[in-house]
Amino acid sequence: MILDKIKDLLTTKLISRRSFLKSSAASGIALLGLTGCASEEEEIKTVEVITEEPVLKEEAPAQTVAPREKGTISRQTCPRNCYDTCSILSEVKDGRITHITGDPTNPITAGGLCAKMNHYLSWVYHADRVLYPMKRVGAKGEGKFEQITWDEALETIATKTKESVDKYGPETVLKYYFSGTLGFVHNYGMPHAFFNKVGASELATTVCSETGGATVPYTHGKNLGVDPEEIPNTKLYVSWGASEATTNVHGVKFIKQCKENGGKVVVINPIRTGVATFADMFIQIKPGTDGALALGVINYIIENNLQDQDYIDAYTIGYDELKTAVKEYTLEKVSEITGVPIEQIETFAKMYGEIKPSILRTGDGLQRNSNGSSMVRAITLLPPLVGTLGAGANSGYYYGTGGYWAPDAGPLTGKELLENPNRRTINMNELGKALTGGLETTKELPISTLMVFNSNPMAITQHGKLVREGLAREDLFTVVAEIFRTDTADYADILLPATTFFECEDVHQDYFGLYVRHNSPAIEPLGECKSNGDIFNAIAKKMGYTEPIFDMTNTEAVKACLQSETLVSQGITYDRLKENGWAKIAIDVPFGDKKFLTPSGKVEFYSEKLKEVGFHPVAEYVPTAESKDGSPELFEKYPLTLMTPHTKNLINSQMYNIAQIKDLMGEPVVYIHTDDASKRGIVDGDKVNVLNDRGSIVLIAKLTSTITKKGTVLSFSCPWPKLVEGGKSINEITSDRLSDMAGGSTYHTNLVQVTK
Amino acid sequence: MAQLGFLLDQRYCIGCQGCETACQARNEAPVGISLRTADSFEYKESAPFLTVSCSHCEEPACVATCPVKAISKNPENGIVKTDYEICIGCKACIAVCPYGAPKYSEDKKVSMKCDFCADRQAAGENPACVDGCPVKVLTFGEVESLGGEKSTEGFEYSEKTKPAFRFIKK
Repeated sequence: MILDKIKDLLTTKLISRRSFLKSSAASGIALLGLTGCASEEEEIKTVEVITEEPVLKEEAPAQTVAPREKGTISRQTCPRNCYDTCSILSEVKDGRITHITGDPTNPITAGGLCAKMNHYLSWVYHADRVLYPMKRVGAKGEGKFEQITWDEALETIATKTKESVDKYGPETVLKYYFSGTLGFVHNYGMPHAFFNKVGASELATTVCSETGGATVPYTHGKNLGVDPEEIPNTKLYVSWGASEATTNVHGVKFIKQCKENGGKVVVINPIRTGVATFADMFIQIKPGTDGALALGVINYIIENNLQDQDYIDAYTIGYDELKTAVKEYTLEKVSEITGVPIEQIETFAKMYGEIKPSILRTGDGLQRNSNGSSMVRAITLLPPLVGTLGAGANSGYYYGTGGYWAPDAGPLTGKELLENPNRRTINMNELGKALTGGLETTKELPISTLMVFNSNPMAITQHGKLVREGLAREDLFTVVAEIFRTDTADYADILLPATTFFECEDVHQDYFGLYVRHNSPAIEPLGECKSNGDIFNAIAKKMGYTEPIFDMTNTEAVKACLQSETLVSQGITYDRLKENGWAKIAIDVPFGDKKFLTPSGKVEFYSEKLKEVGFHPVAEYVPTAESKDGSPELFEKYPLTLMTPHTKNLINSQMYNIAQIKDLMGEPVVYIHTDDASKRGIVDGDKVNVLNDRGSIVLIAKLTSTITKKGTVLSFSCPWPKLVEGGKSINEITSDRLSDMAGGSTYHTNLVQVTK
Repeated sequence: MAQLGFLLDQRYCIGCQGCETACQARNEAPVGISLRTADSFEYKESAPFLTVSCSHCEEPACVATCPVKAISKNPENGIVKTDYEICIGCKACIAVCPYGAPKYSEDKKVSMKCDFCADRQAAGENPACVDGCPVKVLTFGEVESLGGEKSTEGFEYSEKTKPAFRFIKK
């Protein structure tokens, strides 16, 4: 009320500039501080005093606006593990990037970056960048380092690596990397030549989408997604276990366009996603039960004769077995398992059977479960059942477009240097076990040297307690190439300064659409930073390796990646990519020829191959290993399913150290349904413990009645442990159990309790 | 040119906050300051989502109030802009703005405010927030031709100041 009075005074009475010369501002500012520092009485009196002698306000000086001065443009590609892989235009003045924006001409990026990456300049010029090689001078994990020369760093690494190889054997050297950058050169390419020459253990990089990726071919023969730029042209878009607003925000405009063109949008997810807020139907399903829903929908479609019988007869095998297998998945049973109301299942099944063309998209989230493969298998049966697979460019199935990746990093990896093709493979999801002798193979032959690049396992790897114990081993020699001093870097014996993508050349392809994208360096490497490729070439040389591959420059490496058949035949050359920044790969309609690379050459509703690897040959509902049905005893103790998906504010563990992003995101929270919270006496903002047998972390409770359902709690993955209270991040309590196919991760198969 | 304004299509705004951080980056806003504040779909329980900056009112209270005349309204395009060289950081504009659009920066000792990216517009570019919207639901143009409604949940049209902000409601 008082504030309103002040507003009135100020708007109706004019104030003389003379009362407010800048030199006497101090008192004036305080007096007009209005928002409650001094007593309100006093402030009002003061305002009246000031406005006692109103003087006609002089005109403010006319606005003179000079056009923004642009720098020299160079083209990058956002190299993060994100569907979109945006094309960036950066402007450079005097060797410094002054401005970045999304490339307006690229149809996916279309001019804008995203909430997190708009702050890239605060990231690249962050005061905490690792700019020089360093050696550890404190205890492991303590984070005390001293600057050394590159020569000393390389000498130490070479000496220790040779010692590992000579004393314990080459397989005791382990590389750990994943997707800090997804470049063909600096992630998939150059660094691996060194490890192949050493004969180091291979790393199975199966943390992300492998479970689903390995499953889809059992049904369709190959994992070929539709071009997502066709989403606007389809009539029904089904988002199943995907969170486009978080992990693919540039895809949301296509879904919007689908609706604008009269299409329908259905979202199936345990979490109320961004797209769910404008979907025609949102099915909020119990986590890990999607397989049952798919089978129930199939059953309904068949019972109501909504299947495309002509398509089934011509292009599929095993329809009779399918019919039999899904019979038990009645609406009642499926509703009971999934928590989805019967009417909603019916409505969706009817929509999916009747509205064509449609695109059914599976996200990566749902397959990060102990039953991930069985769920994806059930879902992949739907498009051929209604005849949408291969029916047109705007029709069918979408589980990413990684199947169309055209650049080839093979020539960079020095496979020919590998002496022992049977070297052991360590699954990255089991790093904690591997380092602590928890695997049979590492019990026998412990890892002696660990080299980490493009990753921060202390933040992203499951069962954090084991990872920490492993990294703390005094007999482990650890090298980390990093941009920042992450939690993992704090355990390094030698810490090497890596460039950001603004400082080195690479080539990329997004896995949302079909764009090959070049990354030119915008600036020189900061400090003494080197690209990953150059770092491992330098180590190789110090080791005494003389093969010509270790002389390869970044530019040569990019050019070598572009020699693939697809790129050459489509005229996508280095010069063209460098000039424009990106080029679109032309594809045929996926499965348009109705040729399916299965054993039968048809879509397989019944798969003998699947049976051979221990699965139901059609599909079945398997509860997750941590759930009421899957582990009743564990459920008694830990009755809440914890999901740990990505947040739109971070890209995996990256960006939380950027002050603006931390401010935007706030402290990590656990979302808990109001019913589950009140049962536990928890109110919004309470500090709570989230725990299971793997460990316990402290989070702030955020109560919700929409974002999660009763029984499901949610915390976003994952800020660096050292940046959050208690020094433990969410992966302290996620499971390192492997999925049911291809050794995938099972982050979302996780029962916990939440206590005050 | 007539009065410029923003148009937000709330039917499809998902609260991704791309507009907000694009604005922060363009303005080199000190940490904690957003000259455009957007709802987050990760925090707000349900749609519609809103994103608000200075609405470049047709009759801006801030211009009338600023004791040192640091804020002016461009007669050609209606952009309301603060001259930070003149601003003394007295916060009067914050108090009178019905939408609390200006933000006081302790670092810079001025009240910061959206200037519709006047320099970008002069260079033929869109405002940073408009470009920064990945869903393409935030647009701008002459307010008369934007269409849409003048008020929405969380934003009441002020007859006194006449904000140049329109909504396609959910």
